[in-house]
Amino acid sequence: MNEANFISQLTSKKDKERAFTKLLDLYQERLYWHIRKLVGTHENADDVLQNTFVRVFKSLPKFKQESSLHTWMYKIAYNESMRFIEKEKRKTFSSLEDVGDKFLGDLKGDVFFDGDEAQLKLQNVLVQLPDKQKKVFDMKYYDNLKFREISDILNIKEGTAKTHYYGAVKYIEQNITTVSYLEKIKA
Amino acid sequence: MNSQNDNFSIRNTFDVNTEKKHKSDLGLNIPEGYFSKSKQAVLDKTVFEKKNKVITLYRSMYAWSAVAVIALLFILTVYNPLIHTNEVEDDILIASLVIDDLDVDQLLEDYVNEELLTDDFFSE
Repeated sequence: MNEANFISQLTSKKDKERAFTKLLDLYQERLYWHIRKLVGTHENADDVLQNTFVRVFKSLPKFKQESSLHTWMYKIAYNESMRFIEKEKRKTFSSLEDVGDKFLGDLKGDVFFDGDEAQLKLQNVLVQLPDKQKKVFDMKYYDNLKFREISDILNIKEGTAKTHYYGAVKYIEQNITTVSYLEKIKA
Repeated sequence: MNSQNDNFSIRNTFDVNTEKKHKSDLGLNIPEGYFSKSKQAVLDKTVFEKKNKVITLYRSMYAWSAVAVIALLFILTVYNPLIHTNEVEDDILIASLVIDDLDVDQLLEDYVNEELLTDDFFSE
């Protein structure tokens, strides 16, 4: 089935239910992990994931297909995560500097985080990355998105996305000593 | 859509590997059976929403009927001097028990969702 057919099923009265269930099967897990790295805890990620799919469902009739469905879904998930983080910041009056600390604090308190020392060290290093570098690194390395897709989601140039990624890899190389991890990110 | 996405029903290799990577590198876990529960919750809020709304409408009708009963009893009290005040107060109390707080909450929620959170609000 090509994407255009799938989109027309998603917006047709007759096929909507079946097509949207397929869309969930296809994107639920990958969007969850994309969101989870942005918002930290499972509880937050669950909220944002639900909001993302409700937003997708409501916006489908207006989807102009200027980007692929894939990129569009990630963009909505990203925007929902940013909206959530902004709301949290206003609630706790956090400054930009506090956001990283709060992220780590929430993560350590999350019952669905059971990282050992090495995993916590990696999280610490990732949090120290400049915001854009971290986002690009997460999207490229963990979400397997292409630089073109990342640039579309973050509204930056493709070249800038590449610069951020290699900047992040360099910083991680300097601060992480786990050889296997370094081999993986350089591959 | 690429070929790895063609089989929708089977959990694909990409998802399995992504989960492994997040667990092993970052220590991130999820509750057991989370994705199937989450999927159902999303479907209830989206494609099945209209069916739920029908139920809400019936629930609302009950709430409004109860309000009408109270209003009628009130009017009868004011204009019918034969009924003792205490009896009517008892009737109002009994009638008010018919209204479920949840119905009132639901009415408010529907109003917010349908009147305030319009498509413009959600447009990207």
